[in-house]
Amino acid sequence: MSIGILILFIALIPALWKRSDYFVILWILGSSFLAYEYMEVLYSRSVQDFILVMPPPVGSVSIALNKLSAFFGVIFALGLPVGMFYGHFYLKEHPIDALRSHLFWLGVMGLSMHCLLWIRHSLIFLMFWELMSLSSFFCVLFSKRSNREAGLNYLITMQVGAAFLIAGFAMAYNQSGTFDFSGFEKMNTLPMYLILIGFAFKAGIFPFASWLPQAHPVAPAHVSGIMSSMLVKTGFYGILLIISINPFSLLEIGFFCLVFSISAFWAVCHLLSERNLKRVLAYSTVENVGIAGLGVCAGLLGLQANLPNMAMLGFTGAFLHLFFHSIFKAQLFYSSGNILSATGTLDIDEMGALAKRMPYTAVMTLIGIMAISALPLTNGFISEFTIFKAMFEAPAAAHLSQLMPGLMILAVLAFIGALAIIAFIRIYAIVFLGSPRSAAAENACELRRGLRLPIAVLSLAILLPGILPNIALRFVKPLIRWFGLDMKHFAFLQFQALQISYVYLILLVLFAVFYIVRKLLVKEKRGATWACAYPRVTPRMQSSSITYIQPLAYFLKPFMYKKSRRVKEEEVFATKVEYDEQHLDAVWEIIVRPVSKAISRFLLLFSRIHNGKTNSYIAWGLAFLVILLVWVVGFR
Amino acid sequence: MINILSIIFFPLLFMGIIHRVKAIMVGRKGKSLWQNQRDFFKLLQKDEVLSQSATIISRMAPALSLAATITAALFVPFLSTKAVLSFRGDFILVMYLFTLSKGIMALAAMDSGSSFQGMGTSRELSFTAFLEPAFFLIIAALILSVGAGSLSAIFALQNVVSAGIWNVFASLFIAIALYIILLVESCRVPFDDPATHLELTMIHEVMVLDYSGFSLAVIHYTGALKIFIYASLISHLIIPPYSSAVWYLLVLAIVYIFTGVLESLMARFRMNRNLELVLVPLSIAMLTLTILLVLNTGVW
Repeated sequence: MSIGILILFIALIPALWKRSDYFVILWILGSSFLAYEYMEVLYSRSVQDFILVMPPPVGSVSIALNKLSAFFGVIFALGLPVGMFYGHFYLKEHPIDALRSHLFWLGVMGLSMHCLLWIRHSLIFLMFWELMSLSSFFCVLFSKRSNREAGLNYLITMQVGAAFLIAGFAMAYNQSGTFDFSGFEKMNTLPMYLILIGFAFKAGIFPFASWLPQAHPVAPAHVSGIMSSMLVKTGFYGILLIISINPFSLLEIGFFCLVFSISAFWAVCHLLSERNLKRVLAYSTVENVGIAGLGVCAGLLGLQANLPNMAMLGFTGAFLHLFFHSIFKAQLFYSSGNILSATGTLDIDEMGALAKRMPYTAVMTLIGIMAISALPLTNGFISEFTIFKAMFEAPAAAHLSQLMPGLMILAVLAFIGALAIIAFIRIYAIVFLGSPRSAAAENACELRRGLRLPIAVLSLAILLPGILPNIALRFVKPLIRWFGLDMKHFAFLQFQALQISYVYLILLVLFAVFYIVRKLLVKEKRGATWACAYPRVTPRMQSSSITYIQPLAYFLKPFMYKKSRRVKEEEVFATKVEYDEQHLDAVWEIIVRPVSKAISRFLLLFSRIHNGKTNSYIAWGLAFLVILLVWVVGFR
Repeated sequence: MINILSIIFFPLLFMGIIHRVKAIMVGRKGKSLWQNQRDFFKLLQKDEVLSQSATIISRMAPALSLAATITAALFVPFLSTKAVLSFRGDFILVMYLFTLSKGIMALAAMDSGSSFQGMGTSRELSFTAFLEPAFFLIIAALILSVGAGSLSAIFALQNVVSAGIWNVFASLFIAIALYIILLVESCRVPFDDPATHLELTMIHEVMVLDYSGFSLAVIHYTGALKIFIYASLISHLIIPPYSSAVWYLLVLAIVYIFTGVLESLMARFRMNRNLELVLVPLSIAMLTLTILLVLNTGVW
């Protein structure tokens, strides 16, 4: 622990001197030490353990890693330095005044994420949890005015989540008498659900996820990449922490299935209709967390129904998906940062034909898009394949009640997967293909190498475990063993992964043969796109982001909340018709906003108290003391 | 080996059956069964005209689409019941290979920046959303019926004459669902008309509007192979397990002839209501699953 964390601490010093280059170098150095340490814990039996003795209310703090936290630690240790590296170049492209504080809080955020994993003491855990929320809030506040509202919304949402956590931890303490995480075993229902809800706020699960699409678009690309791919995972880490040491009934598992299915479905509906590139990615985080959650549900169902194969496949799929999601989501967020830098906008209807102007970014993003829509050859497919396989084991269950949830999530997952593919093909096609839809897109050009390198590295990290899944399986193996799952079937899964690699080999060879034959045989000519011989085609006649989903929107209408406005001239021969359609977040518009407005209106009632006169303040204080006296002493 | 040969030779040959049947139904003599092959080789020799806005995606899409479909076909039982490749759970890979082939073609269609192609893409892709769960539920139902395994094993073992009257119903239902999936996936009447000549009303054909020459030949072959795969699955579903190849070819021919007859007798459905009909296989799959669940868990 010592060396890696120490170096990350030292990295805060160059941050104060605005030297982002040294900052990044120190982060890479420190992270490699940490990664080594996490790997050691993951692969060897020895689990490091320090006991920190603190004054009485806190007690002895145990600082230790288990396989679960080491797994997440590896994700952070590998992902964070890439994000910092990208951030270094991104900040050069978008200079800010508050570079010092931005770098400092970026460092604190990364540090607190690492520290969270070591702590097994609920009070200190909460302390780092709050530090992480606060520092990420400061990182989101990038430019001066524009994003204050979204940032504050994020901070408040996190505080509400933390309130649930504090309540849950306090009740757990009452029950077990210890702050240590060992007290979480076999908890009562209420504190457990409070804690789970608290973590769900961070993890981005349906009713509590509306901060994600608000905060991500305003944050700079490296921060939203780090937050979406890694920070959100701390919430999932907490959920897994509780799930791994508590038994669940079948009813509860069914409830989890429902929550995760709704979460993923809600997200995918927004994914289909959203126009802002980064908001699309934010929703897809909710979707992917939902998919990983469904994997966990499958695992729990397998344990419940006594199907060791299904349990193993479900958990393996979930872990793989969390790991892979942290790679491809970061890659796509950094790509979106490049697109923003090149075009100056995030509205996909202003883009188009970027593939010709930014060929490198286009190819990299294609890989990311394929991964996120779980197409073969990429890592996203491997994790979804494993989760699907788990569901297909469900028919072996003895009882109908164990069988049905499995089959239901199978159908839901297939539906969501198909919708996600449609949504991401839409994004890629509208951003990168066709002809340019605006002047900004027409004048876009490829960016400097430093902004492309992290994306290239991450693309490699997508393809390598995608084509050779055994690498990734070896990585989750110790975790699966630690969970006490069936290793015999895991070996079979590894064998299958090898078979998939061979199938890919066939696929790639066939593709190469066809492509090369075509290249050798065919002479190409260029001509205009066929438009029924209509001569004056403009880029505006292409499919826009909304016309593209029209057939599906007809079907998903009940799940989409949209506002449209139509302005038409009253004349007989109208020369101008305006139509504007906005797809809004129903949870945000119908629940969060009115509730927060009502709260602030209620609090305004008390604004009279705050009148600036000292004597009236003293009077309030006196009244309070009298009430307190009456309450304590009471009437006898 | 027999299967690889059938992948290479049969798809275009059997497409000829549909054309012949359609011609006979309207009283023409029709073109020879081998005409499709001749067209294919003719197209292979031609040069291509690409759209001005085309990128590398347009150039690699047909090749990748064909490669993915052929790789998927390796898992499917054709003349020989034993597929070239198979492993437990391979149907997931097969389904996703189909999706890859469809997805890359969709990207290629959007690549040209044509408004017609955008429309076709969105129509075709919206079908996928309901077909994928339908296919997976069908597989789940079959697994319930015959036990888990690979695609080829599942379809070879399940058949109409297997024990129990309900199993017969289940198999027939699944065959109907698969047949509707075949019609949608290969864009035949009543969902789409491959012979239509108005860009506004096309679905699949409009997606490949800007292709010519070699690539077009590859695309035609890919489409034919897709129909062939689904038809083979239906055929293996119906015939008894491990029966001779003659039965297989007979049922296969019936499926193709039926498609041709259907196309001559039916008009296509209304475009904007198509998606509702695509839900039919999904509902059938659910129904079948319920039947088998009730059977297997012994509630009945």
